[in-house]
Amino acid sequence: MDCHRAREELGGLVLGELDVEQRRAVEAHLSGCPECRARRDQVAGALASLRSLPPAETSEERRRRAVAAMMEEHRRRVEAALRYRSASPLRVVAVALAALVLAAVVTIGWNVARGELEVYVLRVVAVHGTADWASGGEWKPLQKNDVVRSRDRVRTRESAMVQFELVEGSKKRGDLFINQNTSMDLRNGGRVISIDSGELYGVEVSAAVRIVTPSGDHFAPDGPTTFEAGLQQTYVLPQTGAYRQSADRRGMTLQFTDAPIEEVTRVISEKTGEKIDIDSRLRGARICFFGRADDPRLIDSFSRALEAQNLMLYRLGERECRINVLGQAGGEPRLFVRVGAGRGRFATSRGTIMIGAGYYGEVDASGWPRPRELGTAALADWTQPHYYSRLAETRIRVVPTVIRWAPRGGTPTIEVRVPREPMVIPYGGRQLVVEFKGDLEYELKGEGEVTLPITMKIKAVP
Amino acid sequence: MASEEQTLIRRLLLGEEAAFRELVGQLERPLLAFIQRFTPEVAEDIFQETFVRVIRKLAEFKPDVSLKTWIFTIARNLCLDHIKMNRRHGLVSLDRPAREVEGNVIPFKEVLEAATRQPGEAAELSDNQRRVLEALRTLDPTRREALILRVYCDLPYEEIARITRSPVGTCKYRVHEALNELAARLGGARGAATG
Repeated sequence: MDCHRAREELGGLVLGELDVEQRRAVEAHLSGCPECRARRDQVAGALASLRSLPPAETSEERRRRAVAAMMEEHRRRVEAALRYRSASPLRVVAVALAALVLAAVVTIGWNVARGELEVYVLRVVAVHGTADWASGGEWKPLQKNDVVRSRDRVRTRESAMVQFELVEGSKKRGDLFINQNTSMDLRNGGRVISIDSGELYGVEVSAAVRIVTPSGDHFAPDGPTTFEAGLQQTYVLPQTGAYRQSADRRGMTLQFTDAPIEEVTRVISEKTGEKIDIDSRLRGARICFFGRADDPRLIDSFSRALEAQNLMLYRLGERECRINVLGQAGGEPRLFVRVGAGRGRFATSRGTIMIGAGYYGEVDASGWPRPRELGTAALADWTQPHYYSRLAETRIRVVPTVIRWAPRGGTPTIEVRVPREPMVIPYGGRQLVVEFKGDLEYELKGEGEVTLPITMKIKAVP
Repeated sequence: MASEEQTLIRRLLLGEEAAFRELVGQLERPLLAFIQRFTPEVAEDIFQETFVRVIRKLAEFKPDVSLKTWIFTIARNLCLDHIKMNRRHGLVSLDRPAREVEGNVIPFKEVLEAATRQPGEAAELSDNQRRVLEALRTLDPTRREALILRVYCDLPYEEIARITRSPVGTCKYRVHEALNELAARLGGARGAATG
């Protein structure tokens, strides 16, 4: 190493930034070169002098002012978001808890992939009954206009319901309902809705398959075909009128008597072109959509629906659509719209069939479902939308039910085989063991429909 | 992105006062040192404004750089804005840069000329420290910026590179050269003083 090169490295040397080899080479040169050694001392002296300059003085007052300015800026941002929300000309569609969970799961994935962070600010629009929230440690009563942020916790008490509006943290704005007795945990970025700690009770779970063959022998694949079950997604339509709640708890259904629901269904029918079948004794405003949780088109549709801030614009597709109205005791009435058999291309030559699967049940203050609160009426027909959130939450993304069919003597036969072995799902440090029952063998005879119950039992084990 | 930093960002987004305090406390000294070397006359204002911008822009923060780097970049831009504004209004007497620089790159010579004009500072400094500041001021502006970020603000070269939008190797070279130049100037000054 010559003097010129050695002097180039002196800065790195005194800063300790040379690697071992470089350092040895420079030091070897320095040991035999008094001029360069003197220069090294100069550079080291310069660095020492530089470091001897007084550091910026810290000041409590400066820090206080900066923090106050930050707080003020944050407050302005939140208020601006609230003003924006209030000024929205459309009363935004209420987003069901279940739908939020679904969106949450998916969006978290996207956000993580993009390396972005999501935080939520929710404002309480209405509290029916009693609910509490905790920001930090202490629980206090939740009231209208309270602003709840991610990492806060919300707990609704029995027969209570809270309506939030999403004011910040997402480009999509909407209302959020929390069902009675459901606990929502806004920690973890506000995206994950989890339930409070508590024991998991055994719960009966029901799923159903319905197959519609609009015309003749559409189920004629070349050979056996395997399908995976899909899940359901739930949306909430805005209430379009003041519905009086019935005290009828049987089957956990509520009666619909007011006229506006007709308007709701008319608009849905008009927008979607779907045939809508209404049980006008019932009332409510939730729309339930069956589809695969991992279907990007579904998520996309959901996003668009939210963006439109009006689920009536939601494209339901060209399937049979039926509205069934259910409600929950003590909660807001809901209108359920069930669409066909799922997102799959059912009743085509490829014969994709989706299965809605899930469980239904109320939850107690601990957040876990209780068998005693199961409603038989709710289980009798299609599975109900409530379980969707639970399924998403417990990561039962796809129930591995298998459907096979093959021509037998000219008549397609559908076989449904539920898993023989229990599914074991890790959840919150415990395991959920899910057992299934309910095989089916069914002969298709032209147009028709079949409903089969699949029983699913969930237990928590440590 | 480190999980601690991610947690801190989330807390900041949530408006947690303790997180604000934590961030300001962590960055007060290096950030202020950096700002003081550029815009000493408004260092306190820019320091505060930097954190306001942090809150305003945090939702847009992309974690491909560290939070600290991002904040230094904000501070640097605020300093440059201030210098540019003053230049436009003729408030600062400037040495014209040797050559015009295109695009977003600012003639840092102008910026850095102000580096040693810290009000009230001179009286508290020793002769040696004054000499160091004087020598610092005569350094090539881009080299001086790199040196300040490295020595005063203790930033790694990768972050300096991001802040100054220069390659890492270039930043390293600038720091080493700045130190060499500083040594030559201080050595010369010392020699002149003693000789």
